[in-house]
Amino acid sequence: MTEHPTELLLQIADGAVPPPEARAHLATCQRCQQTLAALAPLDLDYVWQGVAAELDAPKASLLERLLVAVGVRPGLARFTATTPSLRLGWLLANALVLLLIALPMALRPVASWPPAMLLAAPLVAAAAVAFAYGPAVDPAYEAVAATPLSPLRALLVRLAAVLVANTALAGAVDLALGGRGPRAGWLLPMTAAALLAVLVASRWSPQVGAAAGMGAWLLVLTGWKASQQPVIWLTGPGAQLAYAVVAAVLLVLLIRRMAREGWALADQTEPA
Amino acid sequence: MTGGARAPMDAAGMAAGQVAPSAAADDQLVRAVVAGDRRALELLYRRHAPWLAGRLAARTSSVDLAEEALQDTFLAAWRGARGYHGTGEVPAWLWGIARRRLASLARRQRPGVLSLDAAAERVDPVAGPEEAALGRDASARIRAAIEHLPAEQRAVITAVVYQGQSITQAARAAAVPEGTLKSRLHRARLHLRKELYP
Repeated sequence: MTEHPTELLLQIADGAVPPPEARAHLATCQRCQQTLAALAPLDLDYVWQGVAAELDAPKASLLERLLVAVGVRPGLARFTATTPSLRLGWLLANALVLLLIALPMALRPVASWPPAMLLAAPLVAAAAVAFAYGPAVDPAYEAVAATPLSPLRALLVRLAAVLVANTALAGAVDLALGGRGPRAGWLLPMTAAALLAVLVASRWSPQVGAAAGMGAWLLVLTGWKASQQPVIWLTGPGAQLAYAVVAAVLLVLLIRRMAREGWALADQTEPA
Repeated sequence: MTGGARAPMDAAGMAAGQVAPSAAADDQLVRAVVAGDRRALELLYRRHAPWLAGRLAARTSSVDLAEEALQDTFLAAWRGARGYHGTGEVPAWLWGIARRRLASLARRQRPGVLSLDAAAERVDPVAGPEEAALGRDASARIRAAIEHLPAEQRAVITAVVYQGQSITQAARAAAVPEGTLKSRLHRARLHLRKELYP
């Protein structure tokens, strides 16, 4: 077809389906395309660019798609899934460290071996904070810095992801060792160490925060060294209660700090 | 013809080596989309987005919503082209996706409320411009209707539709701002619709 189907263009713009013999012409004739664009109630080029951009967008990772599937908002899902500490390499390294520490426990009776694993776990958590956020380690840092998500909130989101991942790792190691591994006893001190790290990180850098969290834990460890019963100090009810109190206090401090920084702002400006 | 003795590709009777992809039938384009051909999707878009846009815009007052539905439609077509079995017409397939996307986007905006548009959509009366008989008759009627337009509006239709000018060119020629020209064009089309589909 060489003639331009002029009146047809008006009808198409109103929603009429062009007859098959006209379709090829419409798709390739620049003049008709231009007229259709002028008549269209929508910006057709803009919409096509949107389609093309979606097709070019990096494929969402399995974790990201899982998060979206359970109802996490897409932006937050991508942010969580890009946490450096959750990358495969980091996870493998974490698992390896946990295994190396836990392996001796598996070979000897638990009672005769100081559960170094339990003692080390909070260190791992605090280290995870260092790799959770910040310009030093995060490929998405520039993008994150340009978003209205407050850095502190960003850190917490990622920390939550890391804690969940580490708990799962510890659980897996525990299972692999036939129940003689770390168990859940480490979760509270780990949380406390991580929260301290976040609190400090919110003032300085994540790396300083991590150093603080690890340092505090090492101090506790040196205190234990004097006693002959580290397991009780870690998993005993009194010790667990103390960790819970410390964690709660740290959490309150964090929330107060976040209130000052204004999470309301971050909430309002995030896409609904 | 370069292929020499090669047989015609399909029922459309186009021979291998002669077929520009842009001349392919809709079914062929969809098959190419299934095979992951981006260019085929773009051709499909150029063919069908204009009328889909017209229909979507007629069913919602929100341009954003209509644009989102149109974008989703072609993304869904890209991912779900396998679901097209070639039994129905490609336009019917695309429109099926588009109206569902628009309905679900509208629901997400105002959950629980079925808008009048959506309610009307359920009954699905496709009368008016969309079902207009396309052909010489319609063309003649449209030309007659254009003759009856006020001079200003007739000039805009002539410039944009018959002379193929862009909005910018037509505005410059008429010595008015683009916004003015666009609103004239809009009023001209409302006029035409009223005349043609009373």
